[in-house]
Amino acid sequence: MRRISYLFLSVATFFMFIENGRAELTGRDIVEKVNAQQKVGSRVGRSKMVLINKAGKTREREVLQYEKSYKGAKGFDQKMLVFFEFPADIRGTGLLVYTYIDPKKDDDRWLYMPALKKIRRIAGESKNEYFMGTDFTYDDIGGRGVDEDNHKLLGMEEVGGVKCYKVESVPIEPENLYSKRVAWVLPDKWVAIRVDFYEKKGALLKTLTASDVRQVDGIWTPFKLEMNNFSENHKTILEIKEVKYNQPIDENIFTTTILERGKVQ
Amino acid sequence: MKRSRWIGLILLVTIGILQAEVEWHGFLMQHSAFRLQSPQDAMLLRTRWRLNGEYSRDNLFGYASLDVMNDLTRQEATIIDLKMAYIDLYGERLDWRIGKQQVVWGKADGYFINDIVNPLDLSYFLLQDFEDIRMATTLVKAKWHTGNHSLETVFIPEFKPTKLLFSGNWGFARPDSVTFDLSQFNAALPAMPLTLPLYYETDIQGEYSLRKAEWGFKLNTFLFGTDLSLIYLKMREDRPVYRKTVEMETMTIAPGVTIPVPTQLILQPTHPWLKFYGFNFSRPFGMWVLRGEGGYFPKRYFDSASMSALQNSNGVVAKPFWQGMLGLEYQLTASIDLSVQAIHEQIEKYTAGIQTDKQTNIGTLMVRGHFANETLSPLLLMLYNFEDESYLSRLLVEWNYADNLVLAAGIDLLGGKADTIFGRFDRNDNVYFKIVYSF
Repeated sequence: MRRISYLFLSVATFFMFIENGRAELTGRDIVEKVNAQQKVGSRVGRSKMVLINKAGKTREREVLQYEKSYKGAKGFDQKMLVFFEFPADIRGTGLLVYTYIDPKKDDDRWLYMPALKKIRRIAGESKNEYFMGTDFTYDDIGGRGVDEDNHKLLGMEEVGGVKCYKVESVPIEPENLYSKRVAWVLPDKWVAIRVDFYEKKGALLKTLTASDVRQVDGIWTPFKLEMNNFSENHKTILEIKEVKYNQPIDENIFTTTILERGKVQ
Repeated sequence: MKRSRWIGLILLVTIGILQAEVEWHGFLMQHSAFRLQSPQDAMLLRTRWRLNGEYSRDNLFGYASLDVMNDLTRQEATIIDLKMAYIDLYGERLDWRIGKQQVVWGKADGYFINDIVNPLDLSYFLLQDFEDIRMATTLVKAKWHTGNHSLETVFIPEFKPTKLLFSGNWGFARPDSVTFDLSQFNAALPAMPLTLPLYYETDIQGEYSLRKAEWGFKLNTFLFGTDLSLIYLKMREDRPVYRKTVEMETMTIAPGVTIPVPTQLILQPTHPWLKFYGFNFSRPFGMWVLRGEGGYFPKRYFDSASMSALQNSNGVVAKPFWQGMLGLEYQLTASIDLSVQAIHEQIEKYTAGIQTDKQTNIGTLMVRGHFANETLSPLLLMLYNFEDESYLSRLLVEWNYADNLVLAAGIDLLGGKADTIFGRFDRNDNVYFKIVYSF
């Protein structure tokens, strides 16, 4: 089951895995520790995505997003609501996602398209689908459970002059889009500043680079993420314009009524 | 209230509106279609400028949408149309939308079973965008909601009939005469065919009435992973049902002996009141999504050509009628979605002479692709009527050249016998092009 958790933030942080100087920890121990550390009660953020094709032509998206963690209450893991604010032709498009603690239970997902004025139920099990034309799949932007990959520490390596832990994660489920991911993690901030994604045949498919790491409400957050898709010669640059953690969010905003309304009061 | 208070109130409202954040957006669209068959003429040369205005303040939201349109093939003056104009008021548990708006209740693609709040504009048949096929009407919608349960009520003082054309490329041609056996009118007359001319009275364009307002509700819930809705609507028939009156003249058949003889049939369009009960649901199963929709009219009115109906009920008969749709969606690959629907309609207690088929069985297939980071989106849509073997198929390719520029090209193919739902437009196969600039 795919779990969408802490969109964009988690892309760069879910590979955090190990305490400095505690290399004797197993991969599983580390990922469990990291998952517990990065969990926040809620997140409200506004982001800009720039999509760049091989000819250098750009398209922009601006999204407003609300997320709330339920930690298993009533079976929920997390609820997420995303509104597209720009450009004009997709303005008002919204996505509502419920994820569940039970790993066997699929996500519930609804998509509202203003042109059709209709809420569509969409299949919850779409791991390899790209998210609204970006180079992030739903699986990329979703956190993975500790048991969904086999993790292996490959050693220390410098990235941009900074020494990082290098870890390899191999998905257990055979239908995953990737054969493995390799991440470089800052030891002091526990943020992955680079992740390589390998396709099934072993070739490098995509590279994620995270930068402009700042602390917000005690959470280290990369404000710029760049995903390069080598097979498509396409890349997506994601910039966080504003983000707040652990703010009180009304439970009732995660409903189809608010999805259709297109805005939260 | 004293005049000064009125002025103050107006000033307050005006200042409030001016202080609100007003946003303008819209698009400029050129849409052209050319017939594939002889004479290969232009079927559509439409330029449209859409301006949408939005203002927002606290729990108040206003929206207005204006179309300026010109179709060179129709030789009409430029049309300025206020497509929608409404105000939203958001409460903690109760939302209001007041004004000219569209209400979408159905789940079917390309077919209208639960989508019956707004009348349809069929002046381009089903080949417009759905936002254009549904005609916004002035109504009040109140939605009470808690969690994923909601009750939506509508009160619709404006009535507009379905927009139909009776001539032109997309006209629903009507017969101009009907043939009866003369002796059926009067046993004294000989048994011989009598062809009567038909005279159609003009339909209403629309009317407002608080007393005769349509109303209804939709109850929505989310249970066991399934979206469920129940619908009730007290409504008027949008499409015209013709009340028929035979015009008679006195004929002298022998000195001092006269009999009334029919000379013309007058058809008066009516829009009878109906009660509609509906439901819909959708539920995913892994990579599949199952959707369904049903509707039931205990009494729906149909035109009848039988003499008994003409004599007893002005050529209109009331019958129970139901419709249902079952649909399945599947994600074929990460870039291709597939959707199939089976649609059934049936008139119960059917009697001879009803001018609508007893049953209709339609299958639909939709294949939608999204390639090159969703900049290239092909779509194949097919509707096939199994009863009369008529069909409509549409192939469309959209290219998002830039964020604000979409280029599209497509082909529509329609076929079947001349008296069938799609076959009547058999000669309207066309290729079309669209350019949409959004701002």
